[in-house]
Amino acid sequence: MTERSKKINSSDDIPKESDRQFLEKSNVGALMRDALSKIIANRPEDPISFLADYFDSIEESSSQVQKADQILKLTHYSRPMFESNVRMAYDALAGHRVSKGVHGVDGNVFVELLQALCRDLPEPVTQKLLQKMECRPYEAIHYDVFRSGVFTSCVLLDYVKLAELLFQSLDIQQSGKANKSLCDVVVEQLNTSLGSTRTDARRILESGYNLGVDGLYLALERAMSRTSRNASLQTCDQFVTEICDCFLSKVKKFG
Amino acid sequence: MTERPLHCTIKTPVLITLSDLKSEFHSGCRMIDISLSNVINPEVGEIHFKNSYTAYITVKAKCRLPDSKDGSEVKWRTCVRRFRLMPNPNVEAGSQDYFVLSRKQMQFDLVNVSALRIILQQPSPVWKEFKIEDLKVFRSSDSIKPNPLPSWLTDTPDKSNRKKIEGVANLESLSSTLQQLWALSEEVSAQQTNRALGRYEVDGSYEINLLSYT
Repeated sequence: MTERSKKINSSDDIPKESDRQFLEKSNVGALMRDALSKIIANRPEDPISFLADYFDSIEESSSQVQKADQILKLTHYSRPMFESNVRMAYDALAGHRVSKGVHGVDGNVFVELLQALCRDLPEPVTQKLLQKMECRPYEAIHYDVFRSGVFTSCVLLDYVKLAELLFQSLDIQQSGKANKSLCDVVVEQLNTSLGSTRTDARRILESGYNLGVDGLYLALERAMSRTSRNASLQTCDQFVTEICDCFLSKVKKFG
Repeated sequence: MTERPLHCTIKTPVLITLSDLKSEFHSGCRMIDISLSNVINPEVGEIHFKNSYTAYITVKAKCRLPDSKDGSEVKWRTCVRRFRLMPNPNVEAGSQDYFVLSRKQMQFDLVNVSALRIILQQPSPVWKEFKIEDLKVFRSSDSIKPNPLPSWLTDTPDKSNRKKIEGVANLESLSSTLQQLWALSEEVSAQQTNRALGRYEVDGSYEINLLSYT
């Protein structure tokens, strides 16, 4: 390798540096080490786009909230690495300056972070979520509260994706609108299932039946026989907002 | 047994003796009177008790006739005839056992009973004192059925002639997506924190007057 560099730079007087010196100078080695360790820890499904996002995030000078948001998006909440990521995000926000000499996570940055996490959700859903997780700007946010809020938001993102998928299956003509009575029945079934207590085995079994193929068929058939031919239609956003109400009923209001 | 016993008055056992009090005669026979006059619909399905050295038990019943206006009593009829509790009256076996006298041991249905007489017999000279404990009278269990299974558990719907619902393409995928949504909601509900933010709020408003002065 030194021979090749000799040939190329044979006419220069610049001292020849080895590859290792070059890497050390530009600090690329450490960068690659970090990138690899992040890949291994977070196990993304698409490593290339993960790497691309990672390098993007390093390059731009982003605010603390944006950094925290990026950290939280690294892995899915079901993975064990998510806990460490939440910790890292909390620490990243902990440097936020509240007032002279006071640093920490207060209501302001917490709400900002939640809004950043939920930016792809329909507006009414985000509003309702923030009502439940409302924190006054001056309030100090404990890690448990932070984790609970962040976790709920991440699950809600998954929930909304599933709800949109569900709407697609109800919207057979792909017109962007589905039969409202069908949607109502679906939301109703989910609501009754969520209404049952968690520890009552009989109610859980009953909920399972209601959401199973047989129970659903009965409910849908009943609804279809009741409504007239020209039933009203519902858009995807309206449906998603309604079905998110079921989810939000399970979210405890901060107090 | 989830039923409660019938409320009946049970009198103390009476040792039956000969009228001649001079001779020391131990009859080995005791009798317990049970009055069911306080019970609204007196019918007896089972009699539960714990034995205490009784060898044989006989149950006699006095039934009220439904159409007797003057309330004239009918004579005593034997319902359980000399039921053996101890295989050998001289030996311990069966002396402390728990027994249930059910319809199988009875000669006739005990309906409209006004009084019961339980006669305990112990011919063996070994056991001078004998009785039965924890005497409880129950209604027949036909009147109390166990909770039936809900219809959705026992129903096997006929899937073959199921018409397709207009507007629903794939019921299975709809069902599985809904169940996933259910699971997500329950997961979130489980992970909610109990930690309070430390607010001094009462019903959502900050009430200075409620703060302590100390």
